[in-house]
Amino acid sequence: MAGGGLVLCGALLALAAGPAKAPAPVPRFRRVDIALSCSYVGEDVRGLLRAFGSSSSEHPATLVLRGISVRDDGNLDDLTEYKGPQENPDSSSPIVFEASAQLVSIPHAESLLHADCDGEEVNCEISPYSSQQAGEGPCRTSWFMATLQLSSRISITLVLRGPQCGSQEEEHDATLHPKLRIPMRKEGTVLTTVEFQSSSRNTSLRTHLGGSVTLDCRFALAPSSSLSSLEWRRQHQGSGRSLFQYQVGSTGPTVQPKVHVDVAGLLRSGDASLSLQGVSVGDEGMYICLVSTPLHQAQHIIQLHVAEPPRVHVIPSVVSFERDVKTTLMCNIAGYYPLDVSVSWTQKTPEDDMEIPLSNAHLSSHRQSQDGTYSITSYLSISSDTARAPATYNCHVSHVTLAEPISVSAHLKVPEQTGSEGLVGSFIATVLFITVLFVVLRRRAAKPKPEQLLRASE
Amino acid sequence: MGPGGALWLGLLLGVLGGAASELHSLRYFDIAVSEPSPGVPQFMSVGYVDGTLIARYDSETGRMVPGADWMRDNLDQRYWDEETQIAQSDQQVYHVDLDTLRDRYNQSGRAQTRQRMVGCDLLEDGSTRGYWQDAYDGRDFIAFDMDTMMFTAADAAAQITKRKWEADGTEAERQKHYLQNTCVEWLRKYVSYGQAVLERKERPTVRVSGQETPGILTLHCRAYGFYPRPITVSWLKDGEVRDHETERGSIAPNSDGTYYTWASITARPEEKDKYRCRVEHASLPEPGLFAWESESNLLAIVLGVIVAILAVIAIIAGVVILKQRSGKKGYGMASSTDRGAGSSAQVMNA
Repeated sequence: MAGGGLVLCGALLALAAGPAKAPAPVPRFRRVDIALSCSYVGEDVRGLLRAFGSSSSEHPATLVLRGISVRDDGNLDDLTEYKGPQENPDSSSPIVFEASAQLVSIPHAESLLHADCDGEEVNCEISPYSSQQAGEGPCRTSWFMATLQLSSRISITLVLRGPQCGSQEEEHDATLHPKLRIPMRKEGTVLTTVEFQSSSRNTSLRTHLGGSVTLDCRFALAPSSSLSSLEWRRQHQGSGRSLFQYQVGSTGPTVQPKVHVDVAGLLRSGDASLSLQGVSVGDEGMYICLVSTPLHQAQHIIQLHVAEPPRVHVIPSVVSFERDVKTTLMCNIAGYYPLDVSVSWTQKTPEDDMEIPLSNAHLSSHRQSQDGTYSITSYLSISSDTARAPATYNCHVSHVTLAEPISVSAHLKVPEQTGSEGLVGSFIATVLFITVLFVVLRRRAAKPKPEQLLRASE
Repeated sequence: MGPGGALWLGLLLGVLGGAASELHSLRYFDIAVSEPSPGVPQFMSVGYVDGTLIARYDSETGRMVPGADWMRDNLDQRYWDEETQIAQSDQQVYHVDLDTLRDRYNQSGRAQTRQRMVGCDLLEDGSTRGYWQDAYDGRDFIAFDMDTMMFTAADAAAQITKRKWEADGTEAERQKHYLQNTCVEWLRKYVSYGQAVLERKERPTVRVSGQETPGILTLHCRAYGFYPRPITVSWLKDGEVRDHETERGSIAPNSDGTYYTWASITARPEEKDKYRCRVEHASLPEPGLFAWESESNLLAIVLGVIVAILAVIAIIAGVVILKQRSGKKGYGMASSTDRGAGSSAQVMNA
């Protein structure tokens, strides 16, 4: 095995427990091998033509990335060389793909190298990639695509060129892999070259309304290949549209409002990232970065979630029973996204240590505002039979944007003499009415008496 | 999930379709479930023209049957036999797909669904649009873009299907041909059969109501029983549209083929006379304007009248007191103006 080593996690872990990071004034780079456990998804051609594909077959596989350049911070001393399979493979043993990254560098190599030790899961899938031109001529080049998904939301796609076939005789002599039926090395591995890689640093993003985000997507190609087009699409709940489309050599890209891709950066350094401004609810969905060469296509799917916390108000905030037997508290929850909120009410009196959950609330239907956010109202009926003042009623609202539920309270007060304005009004009216009655009655009673009339005319 | 999923997708697409100047639309919704149960057949296929059911198939009956009288009256047995055959063959394909995808996603022990929406729109300018969307387990799986002849794979598993279909080359051609020709031709036929029903116009019944809490008045405007689906319900304050403050429900179907919707706005109780609900619909030659005529006003009027009578009596009493005690002028005057102001406020509220 030429000059490479395989990092074993145990060794690295032991080192990491010691001096955290050896100070290295000048970062050194070192070539290592990274071995990843994968599954090979082949095709058993037996399904119906219109089905989603023939029923697929899965087979264990190993992807060995050879000679990957990683930063050496002093922890990489304990490298174990990757040794190929011990015996000749049969049709049931794992398929070992060796991938040389001499033409194209592997992105996020450090994350891949340390994945095990960082407790990160790497999902690796290899599938045959039949490009349209690959089948031409007697000497077929087989292509494969490896997709790596890290639990830290990094996504990497590698397009691997299969064993180069030489002349007819050579191919005849070469040993064929028992499963793939393509030439393999003496060690029983399939030698491939990375010709095209693309990656995204973060495949799941969350943003608030009006925010700006950059959806990361990058690629690199072998010198023999070239970019032919870049497209960004948005797909959400059964509808999709193109946001950005650029054909190399064409006059300019087709761009939807609010999105931007730096075309100069795209052509210079393979930075296909899309920036999106003034995010609205309608921008939520799956963003697909589709990088095409004349032969191949690689894509990354980035989920964009819009999240806006609710505003919560309880009306009225102070209530007293007076002569009402029943009153209703409204908990207004507005301006949130996505849809689901949970609302609960509790009651607390000075005698109680705990808040008592209440179950007699009911909800309005969902309302949607023009900006796409939702609102809902929860109504709590409290009656003088069950509620005793003073008490506090709390409306608790949970939403995906909130680490802790929002709690807003209304206070039930002991009825006071100074009631509402209406009461004052009717009180005055009653007093006046009685006064009038009194006066009228007194006058009527006094009418026959002449001295009374006399006094009035005075 | 069951048929609800298909219906939900249908409603969603209805919303999207409503945005453009679309004349007529044809949609087929297919849904297959891995674990059928009573009321949820293994496979269902339903067809809609402009949101009206035209045909339905389920694996329990095993037959495609008309969903509208005008479909039954205009299409012969051969048509329904052919449609039945297509649905039966799709049922087989979907069954295989569910197995394939369960393996691909390493799923077991849980029920899965597989959905498809396929259809076309006839636009007012004579052009057409096509849709072909596949979903697995309630999420987008693969979609076809007729303009670019490309498939959009919505996840890693779908990329394998995408590569297979794009390498094959015939799948895109087949789907495009269906959407551009077959679908549009049949849509034109269906529309001609059902013209009387599909192009009918039913006026909305509009009701405005108010919900008052101290300091806040919520005005609701509800429109019922209208057809066709597109409608605009807006709240106006002093004649100006207040879309930013307006909250809306969806345009939802009734069982009789009509639709209903609502819009609400919050207002200051004293400003309630400034608000009008405006309804624009194909059945109305002019947009309709509606105001809140509250039932609770009756109570307010009665109360107002009572208070006003009391106030009048109070004024008389004041005058009498004034006359009785001519020396204490100031007190009498103040008393009468106080009541006067109170009563006029009551009348304004009424």
